[in-house]
Amino acid sequence: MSESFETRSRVAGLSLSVPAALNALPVVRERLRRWLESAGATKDDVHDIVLASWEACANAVEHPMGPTAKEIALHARESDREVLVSVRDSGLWLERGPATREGRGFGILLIEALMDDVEIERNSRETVVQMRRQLGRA
Amino acid sequence: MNREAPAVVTVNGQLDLGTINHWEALVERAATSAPTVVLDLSGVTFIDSAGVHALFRMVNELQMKSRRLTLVAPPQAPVRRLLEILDLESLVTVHRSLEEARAG
Repeated sequence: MSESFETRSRVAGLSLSVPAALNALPVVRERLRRWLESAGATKDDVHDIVLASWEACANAVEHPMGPTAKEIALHARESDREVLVSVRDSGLWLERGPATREGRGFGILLIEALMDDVEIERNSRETVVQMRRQLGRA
Repeated sequence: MNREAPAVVTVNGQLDLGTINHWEALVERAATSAPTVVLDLSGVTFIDSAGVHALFRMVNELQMKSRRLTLVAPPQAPVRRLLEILDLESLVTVHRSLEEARAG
């Protein structure tokens, strides 16, 4: 047996690449939803992870700076009942002030509320959002 | 009862970045014919931060026209949780059902 005893995954990872355009996002949402269901995610898990990922993609579409994009790449994998989603886009998000309900920052606020851990990395070429969430949490 | 009946706008499907313009226009139109607009979110299958942000805008815009917006969102619906996370409930009345909203 070559199977690793360190981590157990129910499904192979998901990799998607789409144009950074609003009309491409529903496809990402549906593909991720189906993947999460096959990974054994609960209804709440599916809702929250899909929404957080949607927010990351929407930010990429809504706020890129510089020459217009390009692509959004989403990767998802599951290991030991934890889902890791990364959303990478070839644009730089606008720097925003603190989250207010009147405006910007809502998306980030929501991602942070829905996921266990969020890291956002920005550089001159791209933005990467990495999010984790334990499946089946109370 | 001598109050004017509220106008009801029923949102089915998505209230997100891709559809908010549509729903905002419907609410604006409804507000021209009634003092109160009830926005029924019971049939929302997906709502994102842009959707909640749009709700804030609708509340403010109706207020400026001396109109009132109230929402309907069932207790267990995902939309309800988003309203809580993003603290919209402090700004607008959220009813559990359309019947409750009509009763005012």
